[in-house]
Amino acid sequence: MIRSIQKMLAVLLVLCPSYVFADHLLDQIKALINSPQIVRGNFTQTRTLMGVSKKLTSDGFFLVDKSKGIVWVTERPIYQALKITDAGISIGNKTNTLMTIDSSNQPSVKYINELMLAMFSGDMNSLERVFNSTGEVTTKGWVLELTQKNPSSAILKSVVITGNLAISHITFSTKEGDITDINFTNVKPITSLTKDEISLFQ
Amino acid sequence: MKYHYFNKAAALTLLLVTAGLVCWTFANMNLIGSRIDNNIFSLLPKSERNSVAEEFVSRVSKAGEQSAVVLIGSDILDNALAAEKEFRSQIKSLDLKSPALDNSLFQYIDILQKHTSQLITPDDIFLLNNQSPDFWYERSNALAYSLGGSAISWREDPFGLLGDWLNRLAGATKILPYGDSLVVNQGPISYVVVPLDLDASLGSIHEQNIVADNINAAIESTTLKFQGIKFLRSGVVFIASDTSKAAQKDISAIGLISAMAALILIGSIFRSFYAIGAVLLTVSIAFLYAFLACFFIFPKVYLLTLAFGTSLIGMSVDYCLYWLTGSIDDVKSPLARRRYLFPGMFLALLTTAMGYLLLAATPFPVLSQMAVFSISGIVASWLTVLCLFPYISKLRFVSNKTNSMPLCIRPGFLSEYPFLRWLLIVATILISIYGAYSFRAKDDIRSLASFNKTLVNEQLQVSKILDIPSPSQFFIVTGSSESQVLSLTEGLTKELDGLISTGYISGYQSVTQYVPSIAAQELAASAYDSLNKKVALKRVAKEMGMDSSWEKNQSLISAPLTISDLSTLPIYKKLSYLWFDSDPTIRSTAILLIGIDGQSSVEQLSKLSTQDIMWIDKPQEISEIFHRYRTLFSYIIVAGYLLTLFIIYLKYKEDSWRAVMPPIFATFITLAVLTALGEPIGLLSVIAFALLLGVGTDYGIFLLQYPRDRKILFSISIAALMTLISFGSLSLSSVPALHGFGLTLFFGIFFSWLLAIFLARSPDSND
Repeated sequence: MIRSIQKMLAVLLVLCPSYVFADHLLDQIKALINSPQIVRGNFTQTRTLMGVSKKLTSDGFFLVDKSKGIVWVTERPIYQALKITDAGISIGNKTNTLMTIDSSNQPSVKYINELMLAMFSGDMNSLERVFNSTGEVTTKGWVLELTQKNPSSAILKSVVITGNLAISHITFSTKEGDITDINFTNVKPITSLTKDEISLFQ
Repeated sequence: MKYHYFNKAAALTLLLVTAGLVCWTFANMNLIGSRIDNNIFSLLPKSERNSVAEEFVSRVSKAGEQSAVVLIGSDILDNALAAEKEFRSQIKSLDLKSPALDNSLFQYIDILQKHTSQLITPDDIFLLNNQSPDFWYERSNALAYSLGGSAISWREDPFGLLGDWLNRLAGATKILPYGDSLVVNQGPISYVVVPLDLDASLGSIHEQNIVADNINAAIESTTLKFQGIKFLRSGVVFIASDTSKAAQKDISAIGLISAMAALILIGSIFRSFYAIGAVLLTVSIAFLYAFLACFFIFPKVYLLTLAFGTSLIGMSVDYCLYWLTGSIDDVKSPLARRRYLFPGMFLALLTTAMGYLLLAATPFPVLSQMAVFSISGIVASWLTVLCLFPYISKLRFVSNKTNSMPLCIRPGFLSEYPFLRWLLIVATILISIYGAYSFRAKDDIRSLASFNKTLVNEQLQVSKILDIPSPSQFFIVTGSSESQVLSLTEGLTKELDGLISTGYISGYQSVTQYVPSIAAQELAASAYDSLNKKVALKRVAKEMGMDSSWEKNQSLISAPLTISDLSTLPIYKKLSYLWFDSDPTIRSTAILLIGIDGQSSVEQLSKLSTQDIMWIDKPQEISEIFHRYRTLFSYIIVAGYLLTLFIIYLKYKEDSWRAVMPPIFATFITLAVLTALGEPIGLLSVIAFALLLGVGTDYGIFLLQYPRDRKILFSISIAALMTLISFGSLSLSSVPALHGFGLTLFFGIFFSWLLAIFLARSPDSND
């Protein structure tokens, strides 16, 4: 009796529309976007921090190399480079390293790297493991809203990504109420990194 | 006449009490089943030194019993995650809970934020004291403009100091939440961690076996479904279930061999169903009383006790045999026979019980239980024989071929060849000397019990992968106050940091990782108050348009964090595990070590102990206890022989040596035989020798008491054979302790019997 009820539940779950939709959605987006090895692009970022009246607007460029990681270089109003690689996370300006998190002490860095790579390169499989997703695909492009599967320890409340052939906009909202809006322009696949760009990863 | 009534009353009382106990036992079968225990930690001796260490070990063992971990490894994470789903669905019927993830991160941060100035990493303290205001201004800006978000908002932690502190703490665990799963990486292999909460589901051995069997079956079928998947198990439940199955197999094998042997022997000698019935009755009553005595005296009855207890069959049959052989062709009335047999049987009971009493004097709970089991059993069978047998009228036998056969054994054999006798005596002495000097002692915990190697291996791998600290080698720091203990502990962890860098250990768990000492917190606070940061803060406030109250708040020196501040959080469970404050005047904490690398590490670690920092090395401690008791028992045995000699001397005067020398020689010859067989001598062997003192002297006592009674010679020979079979089958046990014990007694009893007859006065001699 209990077995047959379980079976019915399982069938219901499979037939549940949202489940089908989500699966379908990620597949659709997967089919739409390019997922090249290396991507370069420019960004404009606006941060609204909880309890801070000033809007923090910055711009710069970023590089995503699936084999190396992410470099996020803010050029205005201040220069700083954020580097996320398998080795760790670091923030530095032209003269100093301001903060580092070493992945040998902090295994989660590997995952942060993987997730950021997945977000920027549209690797839906990785995103699926950690996030629940909803969204839609229209003729203009797609919107994907991600929420962490385990909400109680989640730092990110939600991540909303919009795009077409490439990612065009991301909004991160944290539980603390900070909102980070990023607009992307000129996002293009490139075949190889320049010498200067390689040095940014080091 | 009065005497007669008294006897009848005694017999009736025994019958009624026994019948009552049988009824009670049947009525309470469930209760009895739930009190049988196969906890492997119960084998450990009680510590004699440190109650805090003991308390910690018991906390570990309690937690260990209630939880298990299964790791699913693969070089492709997706495969491992899929296998986890399959595995979980297969064990669904067990209704095991996965322990809830610690979801209190934000609650924890709220508390930490009240102590921001106190919680700064050593790296940041250095930077605060040495880097310019420019550096801190830029760092704050970088955080404000950075990508994404963090757990603590910029407003609360503009320089990322608390964020660093949290990161350092989080770095201590290798397990990462990954979606719904927990993942840990070891080189190229990703392991999905499946923690299982067994809590109350393990009331009895039966339930434990069900859980272990189901998990094992789920592992097996999942492994077949997914290629390249490797499962690793860790948890007391797996090992306990495995050992209890081995012990149950032992009990049935040993019990069956002993029982069959007893029935065949009795059947062929007495050719009477009454004889067989009487023996079965005695053995059953012996077991009933033995078990119930343990049941009422101890909170749990160990499975090992029952395995050992099967040797009771041989012991209790002995008393039946004295009676049954005594009644062959006997013309005396049963009560007269009892009067005749009483002195010998009384002394025999006394000496045997004394042997078992020595077993009870050890600090090993399972050994004292075995002693209680055996003593109650033999007393019950002794009483059964003496009180009930006289009233079983059919217990009269005539001699036949089988029971006449052993009559060819002659006490004091070879007395007609004095030279050969002397040669044998010299050989006995020489072999004894060899035995006394050549044996190899071994005081290892492993001599008490052995566990399935595959399971132990998996357990070790899991400990390594998950950085589980050693539950048996750790430090206990003790002081009069929390702050004193924390500062002592911090001193120790600094030394341990040194040992980490030299590779002796790979890490440690200490309460100071969560709550630094007052001194460390003051150091943090003074760095927090540095001019560098103050100047930077002013600029940051102006740049970001923050008001003056924010600036003031960010400069505030807060109160130190204490352990009780965290008491409302789930994380406190982990801390209180290491923290002991039941005694109002003493505070203690355990510092656990990860990746202790062999004996050289142990030496380095033990050097760190001081008056307040105690190095606890449980295996070493147990070996020491083994060694101490092995030595102590050797002395007790010597004293026991002297005492026995004294008691026997009171009755048999200058002939006493004939009863005492056989087990003494037998002991040394057994030492020689065991050495030749390559068997090490451990505590259990020495305890077996103590028991041999009790059992072995019986043969000599009977021969002294009834020198011309051939039936007595016959009955001690059959009794010896019975005991030999009992302990011989015990030596087949897979438990090293029982194996060693059985083997030692097997040889010991054989030689005692042989020598008792050899050294007995020849019935023909007139002196």
